[in-house]
Amino acid sequence: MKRNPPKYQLPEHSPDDAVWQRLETKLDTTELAESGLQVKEPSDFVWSRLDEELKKTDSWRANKIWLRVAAAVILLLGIASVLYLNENRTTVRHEIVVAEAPAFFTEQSEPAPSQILEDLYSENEDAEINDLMAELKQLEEDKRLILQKMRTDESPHMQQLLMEMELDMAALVREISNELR
Amino acid sequence: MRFTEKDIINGCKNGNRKAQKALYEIHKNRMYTLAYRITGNREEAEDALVEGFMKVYKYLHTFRFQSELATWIHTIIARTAYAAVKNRVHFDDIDDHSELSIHLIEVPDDTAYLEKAIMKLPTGYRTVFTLYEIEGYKHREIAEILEISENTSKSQLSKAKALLRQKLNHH
Repeated sequence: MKRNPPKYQLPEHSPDDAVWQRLETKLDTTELAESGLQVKEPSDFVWSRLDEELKKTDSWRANKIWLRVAAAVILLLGIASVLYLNENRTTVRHEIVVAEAPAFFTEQSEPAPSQILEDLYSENEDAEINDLMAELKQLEEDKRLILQKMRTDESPHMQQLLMEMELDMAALVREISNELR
Repeated sequence: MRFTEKDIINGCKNGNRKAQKALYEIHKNRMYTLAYRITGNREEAEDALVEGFMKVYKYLHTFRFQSELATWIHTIIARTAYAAVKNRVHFDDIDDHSELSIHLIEVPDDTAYLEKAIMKLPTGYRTVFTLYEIEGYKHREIAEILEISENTSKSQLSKAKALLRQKLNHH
C-alpha cells in the first residue's frame, strides 16, 4: 500500500551503538540454539528437577512390575477357577442328573414289582406264573447291575438298555397280573 | 564495491552478518524514530528495534517484493513497538466520523517543540498521529496494526490534533 507523504518533517533520532551489539548477540544466540551447538552449564535447579523426575520414573517402573505380577496372579487364579468350576459342574451335573433322574435311574427305588406281585400269589400256584416271576426277578437283577454300571457310564447306550429293560419288565408285570386274575 | 538491496537481502537470508548489519544501518534511524514516537521512551524504543529487526531477519524469506522493503520493515517495527505499549492504551470505540479539523496544525518553526508536544500526547493519540500524519499510513493500515476500527482511528486522530493544537496554542 502506497503511503502518503509525511505532513510534518520532524527530526530523526539515532539509536545507541549498543543496540547493534544487543542485536548481534541475539542473532548469535539464536543461530547457536538452532544449530544445537549451544553448550551451557545447567543450574542446580535443573538437576534437582531431573532427579525428581528420575525418582518418579523409578517408582513408576517398580509399580509397573508389581502390577504385572498382580495381573499374572489374577489371571492364573481366573484360569484355575474356570477349570475347577468346569470339573465341579460335571460332577454336579451328574449328581443332579442322578438326583432328578426317574426312579429307574436310581438303585434305591420303590419296592421291586416282583415283591409287589409276590404278595398276590403264593409260590408253586402256577408253573407258568413261576416262570414269569423268575424272569421278572432276573430282569430286576439285570436292572440293578445296569444302574450300578451307570454310575460311571452314562452313555446313551446304557440308558437305552435300561429303558428297554424297563419296558420288558412292565410287559412282564402286565402278563403276570393277567395270569393272576 | 557497492551492494544492491537485493545483495543485502540475499546475504541476510543466508545469515551473513555483514549483510544483516548493512540492512540495520540503512534503516536504523528511521525505524528507531518510529519506535521512539510510538513507545514514548528510548529504552522501549531500543527494545522494539532489536525485537523488530530479529523478526525482519527471521521472516525476510517471506518478503515477496510486492512493496518496498523499507515499507515492509516499517510495518514490522510499528507493530513491534505498539505491542510493547498496547496494555497502556485504551481506545474509545467511538463511531464518530467527524474530524474536528481538516486543517493542518500550524507548524511552529521550532520543530523540536512540535515533537515535544507530540511526545506529550497520550500513547494512543500519539501512535495514531505518528502513523498517519508523520509516517503517511492510511486509516485502514492503522486500524489493522492497532486492531481498531477505521472510524476509531479517524476519531483518535481528530482528538490528537485537537489536543496538540491546544498545547501549541499555549506556546
